[in-house]
Amino acid sequence: MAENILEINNLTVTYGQFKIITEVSFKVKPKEIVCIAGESGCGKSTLIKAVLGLKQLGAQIEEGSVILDGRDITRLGVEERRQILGTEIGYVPQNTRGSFNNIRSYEVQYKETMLAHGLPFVKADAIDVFKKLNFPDADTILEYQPWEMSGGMNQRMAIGLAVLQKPKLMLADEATSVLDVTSQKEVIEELSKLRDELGWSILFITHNLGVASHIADKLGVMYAGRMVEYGAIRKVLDHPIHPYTRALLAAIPGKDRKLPQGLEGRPPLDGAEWTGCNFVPRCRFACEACKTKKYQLIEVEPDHFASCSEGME
Amino acid sequence: MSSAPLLEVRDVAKHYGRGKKRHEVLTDLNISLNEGEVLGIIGESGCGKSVLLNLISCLEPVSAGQLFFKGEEYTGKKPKDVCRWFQVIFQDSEAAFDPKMTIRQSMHENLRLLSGDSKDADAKIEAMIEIMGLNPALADRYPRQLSGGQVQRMSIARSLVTEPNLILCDEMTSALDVSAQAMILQYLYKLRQKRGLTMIFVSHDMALCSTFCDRMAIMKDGKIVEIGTPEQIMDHPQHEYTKLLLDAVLYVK
Repeated sequence: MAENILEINNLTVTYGQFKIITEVSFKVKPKEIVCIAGESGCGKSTLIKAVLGLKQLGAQIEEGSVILDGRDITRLGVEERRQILGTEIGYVPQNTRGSFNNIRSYEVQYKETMLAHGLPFVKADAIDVFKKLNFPDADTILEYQPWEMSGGMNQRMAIGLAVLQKPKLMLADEATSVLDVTSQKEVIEELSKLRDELGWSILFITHNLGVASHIADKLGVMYAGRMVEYGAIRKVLDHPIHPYTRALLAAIPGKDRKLPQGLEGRPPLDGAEWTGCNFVPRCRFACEACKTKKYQLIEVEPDHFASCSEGME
Repeated sequence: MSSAPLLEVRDVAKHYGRGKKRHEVLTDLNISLNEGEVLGIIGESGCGKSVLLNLISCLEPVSAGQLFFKGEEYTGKKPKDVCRWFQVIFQDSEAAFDPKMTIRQSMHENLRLLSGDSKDADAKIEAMIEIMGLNPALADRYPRQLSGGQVQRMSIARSLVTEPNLILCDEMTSALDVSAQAMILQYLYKLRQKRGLTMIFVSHDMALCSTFCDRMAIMKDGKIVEIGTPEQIMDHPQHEYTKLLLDAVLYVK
């Protein structure tokens, strides 16, 4: 096994003339949960799609590379990519209602999926996985059909299916956002259990920093296509450096029951050309130099990177 | 009667289906909302929060019980009789806009209906869209040409531009980013201080409600199991279910 399960190097992704992701780099080590947080339109889902393969989506990897366990998968062909999807990369989408056929039993669909990926389907293994993940009715759940299940249970069945294929890397795109708070907490606990017991790595995309703070080892914050801060979760949350990270944290309702602080303005339009920092129009600390400064992630302390430290004492 | 609450829901129940298929959604629900108060209603999917708003706004008839507005009963009235009293902000706002009208036309219609023709309608609409953190130029698009979060903010703008006194909102900010959510709450907070605002704020986000509401009601399976000030609910929860919900709130550690 390579040193890093996933390496994203200097990735730039475009949709037509629109630049969605600009020069993003980070690594996922074995047994690590990396969360990428950011607001709608910051490019976090596109990032996951870049790992899964963008062919059908009209997007193009302009620059940079995606390296999975030592193998460059940036520009794989359709057939080669199919071989690694599912078996090497597992994926849990945001809304799994569309992932299953509503009126066929989970068992049939599990079997089909496994066969399609050239893996044997052993019912006992599946039940074993369900038990490990604390599913209710683990023994009989495969006989149900998706329409009989709540959204939360269906989401967990999708996680179960991804787990069963034993991928090296799990990608979860807002996997808990459609759930109620109680099931959200359970799913998050299951995901971290998965990591602890089975030793897999997870790349978790979320807009919910609360969720991130409960499961992540590393946290990356994206703004308008750029990674503005990245590092060990405690370092980023306890000492946020980038003005955007600080604004984002202030906007989250906290335990103190103070009204959260908003952030004026809106992110730049997709693909707008920027010289210098693209957070300038909304930044309280912006100065003349910021308008021309070149984007660069700087190591502020070990395991903690930020592209700007304006306004810190 | 000047001391009557602005809105009162008395012993309201709602069920769907009959006989074997009878499904109780709400049972014996009592709520009274005073002028200027913000009441948060919290519960998980399927607990009947949205049905409750539909009943209050007369979009669905109640199965039993009575509704009062300023002390007068309005049970069984049609939506068009009551629509001037309050603005409703729905969760699925794309469905709440006419797909064949631009956002601007929809907003004009709402304004005209509630406050008659006015020359500065366009200016008002654009100013409100700006407050919601959107580009006013988006007003000339059709709902399907906007993102989910943008339509949601447009629907909030459409309601607020009529300067309502009572707002019923269903998961108003759940589709939004935290920074946009915070902006809108800040604005509503300022509005409250400036001219008073009564709200029913249906949400699943306890942390959010506790920052903004005067009282919070916890709903489970069609019943209110606990109601109190944010201090009472968050610091001294009594009901087991409230404790369970509180335990599941994921604060940023």
